[in-house]
Amino acid sequence: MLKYIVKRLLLLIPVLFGVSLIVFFLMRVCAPDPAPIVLGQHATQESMDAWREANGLNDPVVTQYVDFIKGAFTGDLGTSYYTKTPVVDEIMSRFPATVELAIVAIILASVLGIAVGVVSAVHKNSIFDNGGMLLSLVGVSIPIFWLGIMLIILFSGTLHWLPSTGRVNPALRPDTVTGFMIIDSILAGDMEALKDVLQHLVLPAVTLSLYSMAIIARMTRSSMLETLNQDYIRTARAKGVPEGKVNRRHALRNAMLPVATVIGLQLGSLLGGAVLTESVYSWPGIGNYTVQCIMKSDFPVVQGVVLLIAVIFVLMNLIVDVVYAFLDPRIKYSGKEA
Amino acid sequence: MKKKLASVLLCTAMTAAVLAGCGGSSSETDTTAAQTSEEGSSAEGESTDAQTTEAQTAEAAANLTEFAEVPEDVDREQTLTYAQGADPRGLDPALVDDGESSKPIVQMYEGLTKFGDSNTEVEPCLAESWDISEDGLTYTFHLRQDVKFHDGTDFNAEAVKYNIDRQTVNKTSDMLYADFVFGDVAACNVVDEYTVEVVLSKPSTPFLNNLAMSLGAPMVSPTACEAAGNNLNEAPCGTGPYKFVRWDKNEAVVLERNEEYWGEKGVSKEIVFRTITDNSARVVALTNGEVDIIDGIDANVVDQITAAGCLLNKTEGMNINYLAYNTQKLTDPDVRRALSEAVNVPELVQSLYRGYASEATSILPSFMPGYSADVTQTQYDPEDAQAVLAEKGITEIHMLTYTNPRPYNTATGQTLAEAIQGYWDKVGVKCTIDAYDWTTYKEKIGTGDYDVCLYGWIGDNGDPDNFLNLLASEDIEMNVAQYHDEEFNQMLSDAASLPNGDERNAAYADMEQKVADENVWLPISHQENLAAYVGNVQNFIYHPTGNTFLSQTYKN
Repeated sequence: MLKYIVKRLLLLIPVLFGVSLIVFFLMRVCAPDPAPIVLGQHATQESMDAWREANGLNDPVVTQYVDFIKGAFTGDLGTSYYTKTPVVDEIMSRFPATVELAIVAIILASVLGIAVGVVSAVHKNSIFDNGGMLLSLVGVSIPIFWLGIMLIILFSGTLHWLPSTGRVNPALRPDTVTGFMIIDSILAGDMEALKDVLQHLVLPAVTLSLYSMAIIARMTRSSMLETLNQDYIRTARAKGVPEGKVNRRHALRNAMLPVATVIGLQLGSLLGGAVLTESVYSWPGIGNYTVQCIMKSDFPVVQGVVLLIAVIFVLMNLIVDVVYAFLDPRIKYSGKEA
Repeated sequence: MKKKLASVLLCTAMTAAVLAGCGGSSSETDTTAAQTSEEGSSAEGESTDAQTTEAQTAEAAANLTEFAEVPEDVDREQTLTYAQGADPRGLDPALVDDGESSKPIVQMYEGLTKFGDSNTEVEPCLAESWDISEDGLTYTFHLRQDVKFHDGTDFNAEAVKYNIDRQTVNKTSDMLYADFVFGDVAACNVVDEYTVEVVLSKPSTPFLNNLAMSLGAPMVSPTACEAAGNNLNEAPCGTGPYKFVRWDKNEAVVLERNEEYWGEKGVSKEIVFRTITDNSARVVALTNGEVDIIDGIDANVVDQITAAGCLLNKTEGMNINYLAYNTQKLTDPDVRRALSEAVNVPELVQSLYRGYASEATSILPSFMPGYSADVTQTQYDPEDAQAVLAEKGITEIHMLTYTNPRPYNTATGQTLAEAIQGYWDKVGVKCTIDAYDWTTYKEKIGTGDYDVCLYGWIGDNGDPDNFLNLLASEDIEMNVAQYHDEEFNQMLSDAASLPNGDERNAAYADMEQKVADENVWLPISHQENLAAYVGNVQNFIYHPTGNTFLSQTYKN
């Protein structure tokens, strides 16, 4: 197992190399010149030339890339062109917001998704099944930004039930310890802040979870249906095991494997920054931030964030595969048959 | 069969949703257009509620020209929350160039001079008074003696020298306004503890305006600046009525009242600048009571704001939206005149900006010194235009424009270009439009390959030189008309050194008339600054520079 993990971690190197290469050259080919954006309305040709020189943009692209990789190996991703703050600091100050939202959203999506999937499978072709699958079809097809705006207009603008944007009311914000507002407000013992944080989480988490929930529900349904057709289910029923127990113990547990994969991959993509959700709700995470940096041609930040997202994705994949072995004792990664 | 039924139902539902979506947005636009064209009268006999909000809007539109006295019994423990569309770039006035940074900056910092409450006339601030030498080269500032920075250090002549030296002799390439504000400074000398002498390399009347600007000019604490490695972006320290508390990136900048402030103390205990990027979400945050004041509003959401009982604040902005003729290509002034005659500017402005931009009758906005109502632009005369253009054999024009909305042209350059294309089409000139995103557009401008282009300018210091010197610049990205006229340049440099007053203002009016007669630009509009606030906000002024000085603003 350990050998397998090490092997997979080593694979991270070519992946990161490839990703960095693509994002590095893509930014330089496609994005507009950062100099006029950074230097503003009063930029002169000389000041722009001087700035490009100072930021190494006059060097050959290959040299720039090598410098970037050298820096990345030592944990230095450069400084933001626009704010002059180290990229690592910029990312770390925003990453907890993204993680918190992603975790809440994936919990929501898993619980609801599995429930809908199981009900649909058990009552196949019933009204529950059709309703659940219609819901999941809507979930995968509805544009996130539209849903976000609609929820804001309904729950904040019309009903005044929930706050529209942000993570917490600035007046109630607990002292930053972990960067996770739920944990920080519990640590501070401030229940009012906790309530405010949870209220702020509702709309973005629901918006973000809908797509994942739909995927999980569909996967659960098909996996459950397949399992329910297995011989051992028939055997269990024949033995007189109650239907509820058949579904829970015999079918669901076995059907969970592919669902676990989907949940893991979904979490990976949510952690990579939920760009649209974060933008609509002004959620101060890396997705929202990256969009702004792409607009400003802030190369170092975009490169840094994309690398981070790649690492997260690869690690999530690895974690899913490892968890598989625990969930299903039939799977072994040692390469030898037991 | 069941499946078939389900899919039919689904298709129907989706089609309905799509249609509803389209219908909703178009009807919204129509109502807005109707309301603006009726100058705010309520559309189709709506309820009295709507009329009340209209009345309130009208009330709000009667803007304050100066801050009123704050009543004794006002709650001084309140928090005032202002939402804007982007996070500040930083909070060091020497290192930033954006409006989102500028708004928190003006609460925390001050310069030697300041602008009037609602105009760009220069008033004393950290300098109580000043003397200008006969030759206009030496400015001696007498400083206030009771001022401390937020870190407790004294504000004095050494601090002024530190600040000016920081952006002159010790300037770094990222000080974006250093050359603009202090470019003419040759030396800064400390005379005594509270007197400082600034020597200019050439006489420059706009210098006093420059010192009142929110970018470049504000005085920072030398001690704090040294401690923060010459970068106060995240550790701001000035002398203003509010002090920095914290900045939660992409969320909020929190400021608290400076209890040791030398002047009128701030009313609110705290001011919070929140970042809400999405325009619709920002409006909902206002109507939901999460924030008190918002900016970055466009005409489409005005109804939503007034219907919720919030008020709208509309002030003329310090900007100009214009069409420039490339005078190196369209060398014949008669051709340029004819092309200008073909465009009905008042109609264009009304239909594109729906009452949220005013027609530009001069390059300078009306509140600026140097503005003259007597300047006459080329009038709409399509018959004459058609005759002249036919006679001159002009049948094709190549126009460059930008696709983005800009602060001076919210309708986007492309929309404006297409409208102008329509007018020219009517007089027999085919206009080819090349539209690019803003950054690419600026690169294309640099090549000079266009007959006409659309452009604009956002004023910096409220001095007329700041607008008219664009026409003397050697840099094509500034002087997109590529206008090079010796006489104009001489007029401009003479006016720049005249002392403020009638003679100087008349000089700028003459320059305006000269370029209007030669049809170098076709001035189109001045975009208005739009803000909205909840009904109980008092004493709010949207300054023409785009800043909001909130220390005397409060909720009752």
